[in-house]
Amino acid sequence: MTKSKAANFSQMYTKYLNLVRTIKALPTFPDLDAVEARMLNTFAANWHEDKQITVLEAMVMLPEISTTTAHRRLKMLRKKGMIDLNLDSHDNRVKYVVPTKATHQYFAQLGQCMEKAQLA
Amino acid sequence: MFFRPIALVVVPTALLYAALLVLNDYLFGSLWFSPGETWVFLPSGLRLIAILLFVEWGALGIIVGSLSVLGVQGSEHDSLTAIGAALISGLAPLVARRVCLELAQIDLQLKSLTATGLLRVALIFSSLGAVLQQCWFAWSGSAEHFFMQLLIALTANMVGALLVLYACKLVLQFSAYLRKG
Repeated sequence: MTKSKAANFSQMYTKYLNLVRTIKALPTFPDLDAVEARMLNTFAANWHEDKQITVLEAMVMLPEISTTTAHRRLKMLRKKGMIDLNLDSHDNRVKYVVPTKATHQYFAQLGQCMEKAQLA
Repeated sequence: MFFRPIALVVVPTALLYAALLVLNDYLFGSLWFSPGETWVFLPSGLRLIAILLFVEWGALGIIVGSLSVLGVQGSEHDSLTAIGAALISGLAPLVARRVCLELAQIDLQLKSLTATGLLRVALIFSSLGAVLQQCWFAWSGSAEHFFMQLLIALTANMVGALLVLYACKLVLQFSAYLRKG
């Protein structure tokens, strides 16, 4: 295979990889189930009052679900980009649940829906 | 030298494009506004991907695929109009790519292409494809309701492109899930 041909195929493959990366990043609606939405609402109330929520606190915030379920849902919320975990600056064992850009967009959308509903 | 891209790019693109044209007719044939004018056009998604990846070889594949379906199934339009439309279906995305390189700030390697950028590129491809196709139909005297047909073609191209892109996203997610076990 000549050098230019190899370069062509290499370029094509680079383009393919870049396109795959872009397609994977296409926006989708985060599909939250009832428990995840309720957890997020509970967190939002605390964030609104500028309270920090540790992972341990987050796991016991909803008394009706077990800590195992809460932990699993926290992982799901993080995977869906709806929360992030920040390390405490003094103690690396403590992690805080923090909102992401997607969380702010989610609540902004809900707020707009409520506004529309009130105007209707 | 010449046969390698034909075997690796043009033939698979043509086959896939022809298959999508037939599938589109089968799935969305009932959504026809007028013969040949439907609200969803899946092949526009393949046009987008083929041109972004393979450029002129992709365009050739689309033209070959389009002409082969035309040869087998025939068309609602006269032969010259139909052949012209088939040529435009391959050439319009090439023009759209050129516009995207200038306006949408994408680079040849697609390195800077973001998800929002891809949606913008899809819109440019859909719009230009629809405009050039409808202009050709108008020029050849086949466009009875120019603006309505333009709107339908634009919607069909955009919806088709989005469906194909999101289908690709689903396939990628599913394959990642399978790999994880």
